[in-house]
Amino acid sequence: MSVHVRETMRSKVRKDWLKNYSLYLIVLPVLLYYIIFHYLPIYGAIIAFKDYVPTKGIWGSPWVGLKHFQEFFDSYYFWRILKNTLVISLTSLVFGFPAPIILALLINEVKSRFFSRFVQTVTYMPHFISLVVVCGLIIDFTRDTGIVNSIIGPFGGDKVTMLNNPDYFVPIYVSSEIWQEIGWGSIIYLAAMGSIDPRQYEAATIDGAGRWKQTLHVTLPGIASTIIILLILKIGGILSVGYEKIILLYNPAIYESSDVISTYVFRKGLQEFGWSFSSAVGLFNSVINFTLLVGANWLSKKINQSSLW
Amino acid sequence: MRKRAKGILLLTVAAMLVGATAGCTKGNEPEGKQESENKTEGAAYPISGDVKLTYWVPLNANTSATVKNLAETEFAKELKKRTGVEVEYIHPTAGREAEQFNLMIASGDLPDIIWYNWTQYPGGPEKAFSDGVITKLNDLQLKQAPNLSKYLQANPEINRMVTTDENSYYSFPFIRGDQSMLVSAGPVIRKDWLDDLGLQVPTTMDEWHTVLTAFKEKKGAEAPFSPYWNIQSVLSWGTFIGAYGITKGFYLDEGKVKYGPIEPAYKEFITTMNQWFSEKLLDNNFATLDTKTVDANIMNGKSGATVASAASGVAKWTSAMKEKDPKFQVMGTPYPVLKKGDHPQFGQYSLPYTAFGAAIAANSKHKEAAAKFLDYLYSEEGMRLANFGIEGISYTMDNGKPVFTDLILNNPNKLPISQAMAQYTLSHDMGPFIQNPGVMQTMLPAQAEAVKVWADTDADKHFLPPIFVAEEHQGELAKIMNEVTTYENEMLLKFIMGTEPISNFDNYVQQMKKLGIEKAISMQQAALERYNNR
Amino acid sequence: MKPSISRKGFIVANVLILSLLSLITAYPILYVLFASLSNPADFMAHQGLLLKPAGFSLEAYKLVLENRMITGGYLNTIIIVVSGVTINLFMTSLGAYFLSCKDVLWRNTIMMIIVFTMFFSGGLVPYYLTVKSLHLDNTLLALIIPTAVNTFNLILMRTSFMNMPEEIVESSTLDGASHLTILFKIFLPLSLPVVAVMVLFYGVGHWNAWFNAMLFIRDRDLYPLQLVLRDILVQNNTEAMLVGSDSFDKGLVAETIKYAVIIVATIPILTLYPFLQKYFVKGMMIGALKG
Repeated sequence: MSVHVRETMRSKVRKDWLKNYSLYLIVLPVLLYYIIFHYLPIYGAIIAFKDYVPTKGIWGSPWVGLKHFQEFFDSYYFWRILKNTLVISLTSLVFGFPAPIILALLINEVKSRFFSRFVQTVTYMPHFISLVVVCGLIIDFTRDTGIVNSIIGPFGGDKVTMLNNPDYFVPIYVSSEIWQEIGWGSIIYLAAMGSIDPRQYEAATIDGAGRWKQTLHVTLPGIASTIIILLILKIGGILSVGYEKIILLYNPAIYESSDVISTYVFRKGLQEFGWSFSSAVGLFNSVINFTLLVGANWLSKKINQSSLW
Repeated sequence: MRKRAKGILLLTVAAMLVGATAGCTKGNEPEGKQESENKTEGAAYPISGDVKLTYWVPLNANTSATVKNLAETEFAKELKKRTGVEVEYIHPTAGREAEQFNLMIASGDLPDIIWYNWTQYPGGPEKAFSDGVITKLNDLQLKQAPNLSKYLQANPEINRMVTTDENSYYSFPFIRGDQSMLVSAGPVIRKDWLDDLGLQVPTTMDEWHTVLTAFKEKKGAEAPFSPYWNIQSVLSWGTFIGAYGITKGFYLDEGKVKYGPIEPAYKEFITTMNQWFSEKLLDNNFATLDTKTVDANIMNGKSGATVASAASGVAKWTSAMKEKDPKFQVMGTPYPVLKKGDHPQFGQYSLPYTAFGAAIAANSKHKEAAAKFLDYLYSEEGMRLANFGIEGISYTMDNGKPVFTDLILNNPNKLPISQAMAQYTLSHDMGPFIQNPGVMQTMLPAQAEAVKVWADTDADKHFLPPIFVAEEHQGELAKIMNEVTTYENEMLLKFIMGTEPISNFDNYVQQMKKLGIEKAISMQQAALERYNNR
Repeated sequence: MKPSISRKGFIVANVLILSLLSLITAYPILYVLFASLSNPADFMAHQGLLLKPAGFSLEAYKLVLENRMITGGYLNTIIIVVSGVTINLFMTSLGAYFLSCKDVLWRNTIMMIIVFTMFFSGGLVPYYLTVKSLHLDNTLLALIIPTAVNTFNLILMRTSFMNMPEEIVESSTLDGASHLTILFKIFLPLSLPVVAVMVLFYGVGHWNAWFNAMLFIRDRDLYPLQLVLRDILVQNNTEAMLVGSDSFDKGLVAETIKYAVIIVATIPILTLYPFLQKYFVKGMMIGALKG
């Protein structure tokens, strides 16, 4: 029996190869790319369980088991960076996730094609501006001599360099995020709205539903699956706050509210010789993210029958 | 118990070894013989065999102002000609040296020679040996580096600094060859403003307060005091904080190691700073200032006082403002104290050996050539090259003393002195050589005066020598100090900015203790005792 | 049917809200433009919002365009964008073509291998070690090859290829066309909108990238534009701008230089963008419909 199965499997493989080998040759460079630039680093992540000594190489360095994980969990900073990561990504989620949906709904109500195009063109634009420029602007605008302070100056209040105060970091981070991504995020919802069958609206109108009712009963259900899929993806990334932006924005005076897992990994691994330690923290982060993603997907399959795969 | 026993054993072995080497040199008493032996090897320049070396070294700003690679300087060309060694210099990007050093080590792909502060390597130089990063130089130095060996033999105090507790040599060190060169930074103030306002040079904290307030009110200085470097380094040199009898970081108090930021006096200090901050006497952007901004602040009158160095501060501003505002004048002031007439206890001070040196990579294929090459700069001619450049071009001999020519002092291409020096010498910066006090002839009078004033402290009595914590404690110490300094620096900023009330100082000290600062102090104390026994 | 009064009210409010939002979104960019054209001294004296340049001066632009770091960075970035996008397009089409083919035994396995990397990565240090061990560090290749394929874009292109009519493939196979011919002579010309989207996404990605450059590039001559910008804007190091000049005189200009640099660095994207807008909307739709 098992021999038979193996036999058919092998003949299947051979037949497939004979028929498709040119296709496999085509995908080979792509596969190699993924192996070299994604899977080799994943293999390299085993230094999280070792004391990596460069001259001994990844494999030759001594195993230390979970020492680095232990050290991380015991560290004074563990709770702080976990808290910051969660605070930043939950605040982004709560304010940043609905924003493009609302924008899309508002744009969808605009009758004038020209005005709709105009609003879209303007709001998509910041997405294309580089992070370096955006962060440079934020730093410049929130400086004590910057424009934000000179606007609120006349209404009283001390002129302060806002990025020196830990309390301001999260609001600055989240609002600039919304500024940059609200328009871009709305595209996908507008696309989903565009694909709703117009007859549904006609039917609703006949039933006497006003625009507001139509929005509630036709538009929102029509984009619900899109919303859920994007929400799953967001939840899967809840522990991966983008470090590029924070690295560009933060300074030691506000580590207290701005230091997150990925920036900690960055500092440890790139500046403080903690290669193995940094890999352990990064691996911890990856595993949690992956678990969250799978979990959220499973949940949504249960409740709503929409899922990523 | 076991540990201690082992330590004692190590110590005895070490002591025996020291004894043994000392014995050897004594035994070879007809020193001339050894020297002549050395000479035959040492004189073998240019080194034969067309060796090519790679050398990782940060490029000083004065050098990068005119060239992109050290190899393009007249100094390097001359060095290549004399030693016969071609060197490919690899420079990290300015401002990202630490990161790139870290990544270079992580990759295991090392050049032959690496310039670094090796005591900063996690675990110290001994760990760098056992990690297979750099070579222990004891044998090499004896055989290939007679010039350095000779100097170290003649200077036992420095010899003690450049070795580890196990008496290993790990680098070709940068050494300041004279006491007069150990102080280079301190408080700086606008002299012309003081004169205008009829104020005396401030020496106490109260006088400083008066002066800064006057600067703010009468001179329109928005930020009377702007520290030139980040506050952490400024403080660890003792300006203001020194007045309270402590400094930031570890220091020596009558043979005992102490840590300033947990001493009660630290509270008084931050209280004053907080007051200055809220009165806007201290630049409210002090946490994020950079040298460019402070340059501008000083030169356009936004600030009237700072902590700066003789070269990058006093000299730069004085010459930049010479034509712009002939009245502009800055001066170095004494380190402030609390009670008038007290002698300042702390100040910026560096050891003759700052722990920077050129090490040879463990996997280098040209260790001997590298050692020979590096040793050249410790020879008589090599030292003159490193300090003064090329005779007849950048310096001439006057009464047996090298004197810089106009090429350096009044550069025809209008280069500042330090940039002109950077083309012909290493003495504007550092490097594997012994710096000669003669290079100080380039100082402006204001600079020389400032250095003299700053040097008048007891800083050397409180300064920790380059000590090494026992290897088994190094990991723990690094971990403790990592968490301690991050927390401490954060809290320092918050206390000063008032985002954390000073009434929480006791909680802060408790937290520092929880992070293990007391343990760290006792480790340092033990290391100090081992150093004293070296 | 006549719109009710509340409906009218909503329409007016909606237009107001969206106008205000557009204004808030666009203003920072306008501010930068005005500031860059301002006379430095007037600009320094000015408080609050700018509605037009304060004074007028092109000095900042002159300095920016004379600056070797910036022009060099520009050139490097152009090299990276052009060669990077070419490689991206080539590799992504290969992968998308394979993944869109039916009746291939290992297709789903390979798809999973690829998608997995979207959610799981080895981390910074192992990634650095990998690139370094290939001796790509301190070359522009380090900014091109490690980002040769973007998984999201790959899936997008695959979706578009899957919608190709099957008859085309069948008839060309009968004509004896190889897979590569089908891909480059038939598929790509037929999916120009997606190709345009790819060019845009990859191009903007390369134009804006700085992190890999910070990791791998040591030599200032190889700095891409964004890394130069980072020195100037984020680390506030206008020194890079003022090399060789009397820094005190130019100190004032440093204030407006920053803004001129931003404009110079962003203008290619901002000018191309309205023309490309319809393509990327289309591209995003393909992605959205795939769901």
